[in-house]
Amino acid sequence: MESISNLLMGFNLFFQPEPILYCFIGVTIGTIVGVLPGIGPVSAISLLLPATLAITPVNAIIMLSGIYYGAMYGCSTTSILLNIPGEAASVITCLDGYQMARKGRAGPALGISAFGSYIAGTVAVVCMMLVAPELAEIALSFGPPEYFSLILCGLAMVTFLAKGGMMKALLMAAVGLFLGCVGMDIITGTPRFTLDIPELSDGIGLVPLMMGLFGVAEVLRNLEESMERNIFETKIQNILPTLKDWGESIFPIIRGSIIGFFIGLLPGGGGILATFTSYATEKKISDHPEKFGEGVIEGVAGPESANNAASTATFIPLLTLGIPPNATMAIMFGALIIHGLQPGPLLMKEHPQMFWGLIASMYVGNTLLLALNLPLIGIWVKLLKVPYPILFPLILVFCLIGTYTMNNSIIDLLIMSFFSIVGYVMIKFEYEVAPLVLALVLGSRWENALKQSLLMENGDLTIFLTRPISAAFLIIAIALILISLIPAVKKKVAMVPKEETPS
Amino acid sequence: MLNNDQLSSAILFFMGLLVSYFSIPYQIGAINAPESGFLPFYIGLVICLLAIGVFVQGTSSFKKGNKWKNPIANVMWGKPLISMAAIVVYTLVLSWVGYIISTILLVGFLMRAIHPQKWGVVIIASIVTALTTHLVFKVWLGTQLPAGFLGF
Repeated sequence: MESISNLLMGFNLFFQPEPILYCFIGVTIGTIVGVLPGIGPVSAISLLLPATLAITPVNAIIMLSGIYYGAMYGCSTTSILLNIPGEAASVITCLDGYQMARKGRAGPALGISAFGSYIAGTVAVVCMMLVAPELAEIALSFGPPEYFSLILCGLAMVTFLAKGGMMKALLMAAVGLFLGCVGMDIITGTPRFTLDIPELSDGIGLVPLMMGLFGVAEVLRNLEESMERNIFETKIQNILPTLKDWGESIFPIIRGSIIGFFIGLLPGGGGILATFTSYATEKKISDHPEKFGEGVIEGVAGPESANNAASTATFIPLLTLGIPPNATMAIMFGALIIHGLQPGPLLMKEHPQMFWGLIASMYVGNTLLLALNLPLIGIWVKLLKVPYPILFPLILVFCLIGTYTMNNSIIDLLIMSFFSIVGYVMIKFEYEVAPLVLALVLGSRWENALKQSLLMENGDLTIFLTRPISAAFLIIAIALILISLIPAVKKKVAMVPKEETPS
Repeated sequence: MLNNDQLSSAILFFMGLLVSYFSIPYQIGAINAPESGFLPFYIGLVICLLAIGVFVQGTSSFKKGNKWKNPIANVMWGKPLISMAAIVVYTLVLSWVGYIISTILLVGFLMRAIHPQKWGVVIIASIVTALTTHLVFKVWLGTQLPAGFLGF
């Protein structure tokens, strides 16, 4: 009952011209970055973050969130029409979506993808509304030891399924924790590793780092390869699925929504794992598994729904625990901090208008996306025809502007350039970026939790084991690390689809 | 010759050592009274330990035949290199030359040098990009962009 009254408050706040406008801008930009391969929500959110400083925090978060879930809608278009995933999360849609397009069924593929995304997105928002307040209530009882162990557990989960093995991912997380130490020590006020550069006294900026590691590094990698792109020329018609299509898709959509929501809650889970799990589930329970990959509508409906449910669910650990489960949520974490909002259990109590306004905006945003994705599909297809040789300089310019305008600093641009090279080398040597970014974002909080815990018990490390919640998180973290060392598990984990570096 | 994992982990091992070494001047403190250098010092050690772990893994895969693979073999590595150089030059001259001119030059250069486009396309696209982004970011969104010696 309380949730409903809160939701009404959220709608009351949202149904003003400005929030609706910012939601519309967010989902439109999201659709565009989803459609365009080579630029993703991380870059788009980083780019627009400085521009949001002029607007209210609630409107800023509504717009930036719209970019994220809007991108998840848009990315299916390239998978279906180009056989190129707009985002890593829509890789699996290529299998059946593109085959449907080749058989002249691009319309129903795009249609069911949009409707599935809409249903899953809405289901996930309802679940978020129910789960998030409860989780925040539990998290309120967390002290520094619990937070220390929770962050460790989150990092262990992110590294467990990482590309290149858990050891390499843990190494990247450790490097991220070190990078998080750069700047002023919050407790003692001592500047550390700043090289006497004033810009580093507040730490390494998240925007230059993300733009470098995700935006520019990804462009550099794309430049190595051929820039030819063939759009499958087909007339897009019958975009509204038939009753038969609905009959075949409705249960995959429901299953995809549930799978996506729960996987999205886990650190490191994210869209790609949700889509592959949904696809594998649909194939396993199908009466005609041999037809998967040849253009069956279930192969599009399930994964696309899972992707959208997961993208909504990833907001829950961020907003209730203050733990970003993926790189996009890490930049959202930065956005909340910049706007003076501390992600965590107190967020809903101290800024209910932000949380419930965001929930309300997601309901409306999903509807706006349906309206944008179905009737305007022709525009998005035209956008796909922009050649990459023209597109990539624009992406680079956006990365440069986004980084510069954050602090009007040339040093930030140099930091971005440095991390562009680091990101490119990491791609080449198969090190995953996400653990580094998450560790960097959580680093100072983790350090504070560690120091406070040690001070609380005069340096007694058993504090992490004597408190049950902390002990449980630690046991999970240690178990994940130990399990990953078992050769049979290692082999299986290597076969699990990995979260790519989303630009 | 080391393989890719061995080489990268060896570099990260030395990075870990450097982190620990340069943490010492910040005071490490004790476990019941940690100072500013406490966490970075131990993180440096953890980096070293994990790097040893990756090196051991790399050695085991080396024995299984996983030798050095040139990461830039069979790719057009010159294009990322030129693009990165252009970004660095752009960064260094941005304040002096100003946003509009340096952006026109950057976009124009990338369009001609990486995947050559017709001059007409290059000129129009670079001018439109610079002016549109200037309009959106400076005029509409009110963010600051460097004006340079010409004042724009």
